[in-house]
Amino acid sequence: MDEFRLRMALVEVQRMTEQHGGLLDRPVRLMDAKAWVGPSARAFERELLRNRRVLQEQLRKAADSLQRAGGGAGVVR
Amino acid sequence: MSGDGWLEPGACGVRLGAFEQLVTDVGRAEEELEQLARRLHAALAAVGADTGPAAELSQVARWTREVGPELRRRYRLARDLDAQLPGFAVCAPEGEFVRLPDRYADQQARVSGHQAGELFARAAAGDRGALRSLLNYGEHGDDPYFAEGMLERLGAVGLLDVPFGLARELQADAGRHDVMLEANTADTRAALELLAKALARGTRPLSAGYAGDGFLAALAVAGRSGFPPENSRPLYFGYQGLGTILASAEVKYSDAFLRVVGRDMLAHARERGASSWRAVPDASGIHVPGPRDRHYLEGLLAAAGASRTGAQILLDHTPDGETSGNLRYLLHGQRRVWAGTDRGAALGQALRAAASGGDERSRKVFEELVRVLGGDQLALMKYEAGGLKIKDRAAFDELAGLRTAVGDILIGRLDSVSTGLYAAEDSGHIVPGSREGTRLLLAVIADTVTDDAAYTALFKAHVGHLRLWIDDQRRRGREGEVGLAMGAGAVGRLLALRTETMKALKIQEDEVNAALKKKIDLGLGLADPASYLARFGAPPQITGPAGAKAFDEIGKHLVERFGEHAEKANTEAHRVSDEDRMRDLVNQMLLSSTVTHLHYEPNDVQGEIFAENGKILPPAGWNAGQVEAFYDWCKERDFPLPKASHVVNGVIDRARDETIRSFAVNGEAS
Repeated sequence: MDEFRLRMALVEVQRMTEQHGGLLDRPVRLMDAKAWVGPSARAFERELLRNRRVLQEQLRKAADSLQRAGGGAGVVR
Repeated sequence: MSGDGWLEPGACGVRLGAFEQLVTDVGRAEEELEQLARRLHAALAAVGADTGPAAELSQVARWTREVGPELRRRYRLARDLDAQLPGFAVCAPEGEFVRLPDRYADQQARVSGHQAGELFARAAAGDRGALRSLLNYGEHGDDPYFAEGMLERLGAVGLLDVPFGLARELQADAGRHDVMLEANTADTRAALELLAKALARGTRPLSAGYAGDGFLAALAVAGRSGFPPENSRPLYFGYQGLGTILASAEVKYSDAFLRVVGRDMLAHARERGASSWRAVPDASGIHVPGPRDRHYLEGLLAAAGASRTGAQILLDHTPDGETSGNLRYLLHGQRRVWAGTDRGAALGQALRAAASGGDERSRKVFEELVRVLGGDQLALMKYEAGGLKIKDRAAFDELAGLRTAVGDILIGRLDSVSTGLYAAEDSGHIVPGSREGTRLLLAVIADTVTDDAAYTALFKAHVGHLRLWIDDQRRRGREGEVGLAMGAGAVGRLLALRTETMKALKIQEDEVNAALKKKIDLGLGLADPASYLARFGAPPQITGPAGAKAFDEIGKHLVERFGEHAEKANTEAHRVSDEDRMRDLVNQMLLSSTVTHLHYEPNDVQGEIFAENGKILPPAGWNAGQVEAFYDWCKERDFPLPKASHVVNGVIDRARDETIRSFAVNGEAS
């Protein structure tokens, strides 16, 4: 595999992580700060936390796999 | 962690500013996540890497697409509610919250309730468009959140003002002969039904949508206050409006509603006193006199009749400052008022619910009913020249509307009725009881049996009761002479009371009684309820004349079904007296029951004319010769003769006299 293309892909994934990895952070903070309370709110908060974890984990997983494939050489993490 | 302990179950709280931010953020995530998943997929696929992470992100994107719109709807509702009800927010340690139902559908229902409340207020002020719009809310009446919203919007005074306003508008229609009068009347009726249902739904403590103890208290205050509310010289009081609402739908109100509002409504009525016998109309009757005046308490009584505890809360209660209970006030004190209205029909609904149970409080209400109604009716009846006289027919019928309900109550308490009836037996040693108590019970029964339907129902229940009792005794191999005498005596007295009251009321042809007697002539007592019992099961307990609702059922079955297959008369001679008929009935039952429960071998009945192929034929089809042959057969084998003994016959013979004499003032008849 072309190392340059791998590195380009890694950089792109890292940019995505910077730009969008925190998309659900403020909703989590707002729920923490009781923007909405009650039974449905608790269910929503659980789902929100789970989805934020998936978002962050999968972005990291994508970056890791590219790095292992060789795209990580010379790239500062 | 939850931090929402101040919320009742099913509710949620929203801090508008923060929630708006949350909704905006989730909306942004909705757009960006979809794109992110696509870009990630492209980037990974281009270098041949695993695209799994992109698929996972698609799932997250899908979740935001699901919750996003729901959050937006929720936000709009909270914002609208806050705008409609400024100052309704709840203060909690975390800030100021708008409180609303947790489920979105419930939030919507609450907003609909607000809208309907607004429409009610406008309709009461004469807006016919608003009245018609209310028809769209018909199916919402049972929704607790709708009820909550509606009551929130109207408040106690606003609620009670609605029926006055609607009635006023209808009066205006009638005054100018408006062609829309009929349609408007129907719309008004539908709107009031919705109002009543929502009121019942929104006043149940511990249920979703409960308007709160404060609302019930406010309703009681508004009920006593003058209407129209802003008028310096009010013309009516709020409870007249509530009477209309309560009469508008057949729904169950909570015990709390009847305890707080219902009792106060009655206490207020008693405080106002009865300056005249004229009925105090409810809101609907103020402007538009109907064919008869509806008293404003009728709605309350009918509403209380929807539950036993509710009716007992109302009737078995003495308000502060009064010396007699509510039941006495309603039955005795208001008697002449009901004479001009529904003749006690609504009171009957409440009584039926309050007195029919097997609980102690039901028994108490029943006893008070017998004391009060029995006392009043007894005073109008007397023993004269060997017969019964009714002194004042009009007064006797003042509570005619109550009779069906009292009949039902008597059927539900068949045990005490049988005992009470039998206690009219002067010898009294079998059932010691207060002679006065028996006279009062007999007076109540005498009153009740003047109603055709009530009499028929009571007769059927007694017949069913007697038959099941005989069957139970035969099954146990007993004769049960005393119980049989009681049962036969009770039916005999019932028959006698009907005959005598009809004579006293100078009703020449008593077709109802004649029809029932004819059934006995045709062999009613020979009909065997075994097949019926096999289908529906025997009553759980038949120990002595213990009453059970099953007697009513079995009696209906026996009496109503009988005659369908009995065109040929089974009895040999035409009977003339009630006593002969009672003897027939008892003997028929004994014969039928004995045969049903007899243990014998085919050889035992070999060659007998009442048997065929070693089996005894059903007595319902026997002729007189077969009956006699069976009696002889029993005698030969020393079986107890299935015939009324002299004790039972004696009771039957004395039934009428004992019954009628009990209406004599002590000593007068002896």
